[in-house]
Amino acid sequence: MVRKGDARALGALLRRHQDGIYTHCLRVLRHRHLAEDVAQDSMVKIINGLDSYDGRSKFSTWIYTIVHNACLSKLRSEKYRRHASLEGMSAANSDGDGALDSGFAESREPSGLMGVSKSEVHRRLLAALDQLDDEHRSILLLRDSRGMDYEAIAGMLQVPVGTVKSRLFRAREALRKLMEQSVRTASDLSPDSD
Amino acid sequence: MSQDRFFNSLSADFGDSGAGFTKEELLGYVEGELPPDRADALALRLLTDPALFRQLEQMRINRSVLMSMPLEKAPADLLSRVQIAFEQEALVGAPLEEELGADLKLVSDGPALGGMRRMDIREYRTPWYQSRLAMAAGVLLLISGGIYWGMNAFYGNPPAPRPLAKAEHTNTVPPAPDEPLPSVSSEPDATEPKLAINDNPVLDLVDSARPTQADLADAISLPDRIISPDQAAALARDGRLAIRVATLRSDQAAAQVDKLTAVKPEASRSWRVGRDISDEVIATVASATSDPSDIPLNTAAARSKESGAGHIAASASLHDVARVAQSFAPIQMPLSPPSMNMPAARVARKPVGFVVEVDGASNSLAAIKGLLAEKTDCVATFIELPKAVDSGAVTDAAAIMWFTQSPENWVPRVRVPVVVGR
Repeated sequence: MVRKGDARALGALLRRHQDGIYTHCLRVLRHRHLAEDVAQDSMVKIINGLDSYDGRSKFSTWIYTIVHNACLSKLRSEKYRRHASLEGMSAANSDGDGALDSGFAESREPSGLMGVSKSEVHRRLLAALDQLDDEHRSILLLRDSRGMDYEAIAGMLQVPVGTVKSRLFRAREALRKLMEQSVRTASDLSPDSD
Repeated sequence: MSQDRFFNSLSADFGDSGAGFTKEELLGYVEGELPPDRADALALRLLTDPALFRQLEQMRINRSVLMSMPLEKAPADLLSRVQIAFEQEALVGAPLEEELGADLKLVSDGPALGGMRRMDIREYRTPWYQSRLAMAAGVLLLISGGIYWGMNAFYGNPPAPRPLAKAEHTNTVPPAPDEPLPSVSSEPDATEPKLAINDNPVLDLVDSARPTQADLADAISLPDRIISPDQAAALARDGRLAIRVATLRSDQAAAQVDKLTAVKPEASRSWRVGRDISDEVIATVASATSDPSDIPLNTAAARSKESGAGHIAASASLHDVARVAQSFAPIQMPLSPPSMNMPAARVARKPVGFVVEVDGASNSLAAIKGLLAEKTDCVATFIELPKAVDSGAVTDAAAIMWFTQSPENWVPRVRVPVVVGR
């Protein structure tokens, strides 16, 4: 119905997916304003590209391929922009790369993510996700949050399925270590630890 | 230990024990997708290695937490922004792209956008040669100026050029309120220098097209009262709202508005401009225009602000407006070479009517009014009609891209007559 131009069906479709699209953008980009912009752009692309959807994959997979590629593109452009703006600073400051990373990290909004999570486990997991690199965070979100299968992720990332699996396992291991570290730090800071 | 080394050592342990579990199988165990026979074998293996068991279980827990993580709530206006952005993109790709450039900017900047942050439709990259051209032009200007001043100093000052138009009224002290307005005639002043092309006076030929004071006052007449967008929305729901585009050049302005009617429906779904408006409605809107003599004083500034166009400088009173207009009148003469077929008497042009269909929200109406003002480069004002007019049936909302809100939140669409003319 959507492809036949039924605006009502298209509206229902977008309303159904808007929270998921926005959440994925927010968790990949970790910046509310950027996530809003990318979610908006992605949905426009979805509308414009409805005719190109051939039905070979699930519709949700097709949608999140568009959304995730838009997120990666934004991540790259943001890093490039920050890198360009910090080039001058790095000449005067020997730890220019550190400034780049910290500058981008400061622009993100971990507190916003934490604030919306009710449970402590969710909060810790999101904080650990924030510390993962983009590649590991992306693949975990696609697999666990979006429930995509290996083939879909492989098609989206344009890598073999085996690479997806090995990358996914490394991401799980990295997340596990960060969670362990988080628990250890929390127990060290608790009054009972004395 | 790096992640790779950990993973490799894990597999090596299995290999040494003879279990032969691969990375893929470990991942399958964590994700619950390992075949039952292999899962049982791995479970047995893990009984002998509590540390490994704990690590894999932690991964399973992390996965289940990630899967159960609640979705963030998207911003309330996200879909509205999507619709607007979609229309922008569609318009950019429309055949009228070049001609509608100004409209795109206005629509994107208008109040109907409701919180769109990114106003730019496209980022234009400055060509590499542009800065060099600018520098070259600057150098040429400096050289020209130097030559001019050098020649001037050498040969003496040339006589000052005679002004083409008398503009002393703009610098005089305004008359007292009870002082009669100086009579202004549309007849050319005998002392006024005449525009000449190749020493042939052309002022007399083009004077028939010269606007009179009454024309100018009519063209820039003000509405009886300023109608706010909220009031406009209420009037539109009653069918008593119209938009007047005041201009002396109604043909040109109408042609600009007419271009908006050519925008394809798929490019502009939330608003449409059409010409299906009856002469009766046009006459009703035209007659609803205020009499300039009833214009309250000190409203020009408010009008200028309200219209959003700001094309006419704010003045203290209608008298001042008329005076400013009269002083500029000769400048507004057509300067093109006269046609030999130019009629002796200026033909009175009929107002041209259009109809705009849009949702009845106040910000959308304000955006449409701003669009018309920007497109025509004229003053657009809301007009309250004395009675409701039938501007035709609105399009079924479900047939257009009207999905930015749930159907229960849809704003009823309205059709607003637009009259372009003096």
